[in-house]
Amino acid sequence: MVGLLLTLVGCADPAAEVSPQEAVRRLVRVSLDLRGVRPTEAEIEQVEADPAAIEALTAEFVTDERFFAHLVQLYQEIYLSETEGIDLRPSNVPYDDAKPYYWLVGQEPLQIVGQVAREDLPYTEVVTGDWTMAEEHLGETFPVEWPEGQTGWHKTRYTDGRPAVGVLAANGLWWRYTTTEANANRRRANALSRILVCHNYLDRPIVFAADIPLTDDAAVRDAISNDPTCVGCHSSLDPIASNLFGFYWSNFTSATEGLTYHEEKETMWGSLVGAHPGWAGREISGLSELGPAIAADPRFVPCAVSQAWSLMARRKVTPEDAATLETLTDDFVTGGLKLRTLYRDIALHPNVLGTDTENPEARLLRPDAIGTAVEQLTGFAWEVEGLPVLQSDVKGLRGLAGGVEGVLIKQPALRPSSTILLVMELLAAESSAYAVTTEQALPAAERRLFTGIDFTETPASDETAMREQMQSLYLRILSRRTEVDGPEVNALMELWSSLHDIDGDIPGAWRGVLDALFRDPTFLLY
Amino acid sequence: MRRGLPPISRRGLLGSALGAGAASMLAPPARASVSPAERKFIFVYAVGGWDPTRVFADGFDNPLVDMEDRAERASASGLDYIAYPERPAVSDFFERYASKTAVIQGLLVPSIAHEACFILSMTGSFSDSGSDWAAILGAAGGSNYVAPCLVLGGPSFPGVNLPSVVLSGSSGQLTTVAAGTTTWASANGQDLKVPARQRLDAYMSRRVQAFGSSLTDTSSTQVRDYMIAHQQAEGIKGLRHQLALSSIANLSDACDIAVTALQLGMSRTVMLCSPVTGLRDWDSHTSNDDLQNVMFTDLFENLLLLMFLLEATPGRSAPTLAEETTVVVFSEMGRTPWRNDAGGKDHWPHTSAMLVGSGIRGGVTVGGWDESWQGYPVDPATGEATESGVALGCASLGATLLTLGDVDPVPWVGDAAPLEAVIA
Repeated sequence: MVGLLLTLVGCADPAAEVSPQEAVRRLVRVSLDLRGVRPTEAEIEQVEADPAAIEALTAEFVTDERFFAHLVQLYQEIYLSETEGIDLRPSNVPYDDAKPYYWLVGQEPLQIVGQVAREDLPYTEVVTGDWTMAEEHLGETFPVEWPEGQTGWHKTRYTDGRPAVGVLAANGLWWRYTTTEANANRRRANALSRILVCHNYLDRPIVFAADIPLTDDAAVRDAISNDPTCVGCHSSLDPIASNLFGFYWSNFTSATEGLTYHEEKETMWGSLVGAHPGWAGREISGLSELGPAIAADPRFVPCAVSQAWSLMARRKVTPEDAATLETLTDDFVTGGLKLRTLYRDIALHPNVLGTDTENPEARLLRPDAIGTAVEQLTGFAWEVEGLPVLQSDVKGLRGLAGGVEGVLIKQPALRPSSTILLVMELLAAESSAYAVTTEQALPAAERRLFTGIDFTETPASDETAMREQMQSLYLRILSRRTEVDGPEVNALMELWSSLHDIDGDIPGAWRGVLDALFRDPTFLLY
Repeated sequence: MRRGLPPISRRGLLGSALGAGAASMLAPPARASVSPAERKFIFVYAVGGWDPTRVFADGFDNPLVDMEDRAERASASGLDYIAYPERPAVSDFFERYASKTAVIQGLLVPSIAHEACFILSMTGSFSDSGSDWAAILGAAGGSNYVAPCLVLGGPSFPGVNLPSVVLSGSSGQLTTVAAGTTTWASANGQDLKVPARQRLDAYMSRRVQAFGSSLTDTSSTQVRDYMIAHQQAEGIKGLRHQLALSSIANLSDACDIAVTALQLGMSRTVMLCSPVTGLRDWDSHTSNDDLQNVMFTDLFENLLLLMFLLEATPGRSAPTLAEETTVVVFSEMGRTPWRNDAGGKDHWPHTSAMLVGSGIRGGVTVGGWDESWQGYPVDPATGEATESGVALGCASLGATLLTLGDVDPVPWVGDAAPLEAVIA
């Protein structure tokens, strides 16, 4: 394993020189990729002294609560469920503005994945776990065990007798992927296939043969079962669909239909689909066996690995990745299918870390990581109407910041765009104002950023303290060391003075410096 | 909080000139030609799947098709359509604009899943990493525009053309971010004053220029894209007072803003959706007649407004925007020819599309519907139905639009032929 790790960090020769700057670049990448926050000064000092320390730090990062929260956002790009545009509209949702409720509902399957990592459970728990995740809004409306007064996301269990099959039993998944009588759960079946075994039926062109009259129901049913242009997909798709009728609703606004599981509807496949419940060519009894069948599918584990790789490398899998994915898959299996280990290995892989080239391509900060990175540095939690601004869409800015809304926008931005920069500019304005205002009221020892000044200094009174503070800000926000009289600090001092010259407002001048650092191109590109 | 001039409302400036007394103002001026490279596009997307038999598709003689009881065949400038007493806006539109309108009938979108059909109808392929027509055409406009493809609503698949796509946000959030309208800072009296903001912005310009000057031949595309994005962002900020994005309450507002964006030279393509919420209000699985009536009425009333605004607004390459803009009206799917037990109509993979304005051969219908309510193969050159013709698919629509916009369609849609029959 040590040898593998050394190879993964591109250090086949342990004596290979890694400059302090390069060591910090790698640390920044791993920290932002895994935790969505910049490394601390202590972590930076650690790798500057010993570049190999990045391995141990990375192992710590995947035990960090921020990693689990970041995973929830990563998997939104796969599940596409955390959306305010969810289909179901039950009439008993007890909140004035139902949109945050639907957003929370859509998080349920994502939180399950996060919890699997948090508890270091084998990945198969995603489809075999006898539990789910809920927070207070869901806990008070879903048929789950929920202690009165409990708040926040917690592990819980459904009480309506639905099978123990992880995300396959999650209301949040089926509220996102609804169905109709004509569709008969096929949409949901494809969602399962795409999410869990990386097989998207819609990737194949659908040939509507001209000799199949779509107006003739009997002819269509016959074609689905017998026509070569249809059977190729439907022979495997329809049995999957047949497993899901416990979640079949006839009324999209019913107060109860969408909340509870309907065992009495499980056999509706007979009339609506016609194919016996199954998975991958094998008949099964139904949903209770679907989870284990998926977990045993030879595609399940490689799919998990390729998804993780794609999420971290920020690109689609290519044929050139085959050998890498095979190695990662072997290690994933050997290590007990632990997401923490998988993401640690991927984060340190030369291709992801950028150590396999002299000029590694910069990476664009994800929207959720923009928010968490700024919050970690300033304490500013950017919210609108109860939702994180960078994780929501109707009033939030997720889409403008390059994020995945889930229904209308399904691909993340991988390159800078004008709206991403505008969002960053707005966040810089908000967070810098917040940081300066709150830290002025705190003793230096309790501050996050302004630990070297008292907001009374001017260049005339204590330029040294100011310059050292600028250095400190540069290190904390952009993870770069600067010279106390170098060009970066000089430029910030000039900015500070130009702002101070307007009206003598010292905190205002520091606010401008902070604003400028958050707007620096290297905050977004790392 | 920054304040500026109230945004210009084109409808406000023009008052109620849509009234009868102003009819003479609406006579289209002499047609001027504009090059395809200068042509602009407004896409109006009906989200949820419209029922072509309510406006475009004649199923009166087909026993499979449930037409509305009081619907009638109508025609204007050689273009056949369906008239209905409660939808006078449809007749008004065709009476006025049929000579500039082409309709594609029996267009195949090979799926009946909404999300798959969004991608197919807008990109011609199943891959959700593909680039949609509006994004491709916008990007082709290059650095001439600060928001080459402005998306006011609806699905968006920018693909490789992401740097050219500017989302307005479902609540017009682009205005807020472009204006730098803070919430916490404003509420706590901590907004930077204008002189401070100006000096900070000047510092940032120098910083970004220094960042960009580090570009070398081997520099990353991220750096190059950052520089372009910065330039565009500054351009958007400069135009923020003239776009009332946060006040888009209905399709009329969206039309107003779309025309403004073209008139300002901000965008080459604008994407609108009906309804403006982006919800699938056209998805009439129940009460098809009532719902489609409401939606088509609203749509055509706003298409009338849109055309009026285009005709009343000076163009950048022609006397009016109407002469340099093509309006593309489509939906991700059609609906079954028959009603279901709930009086609704379900998903159908064949639909219609409408093209209006610059570059369009008016009074033309391409394609048709066979006895099983599927599209005929057609000769792309003539638009005539022929057994030896090609199936009309999304790629054909895309090839047509890209050709209209001076973009080589082959890299995007392969050998799909543009429909020459609809191109003037």
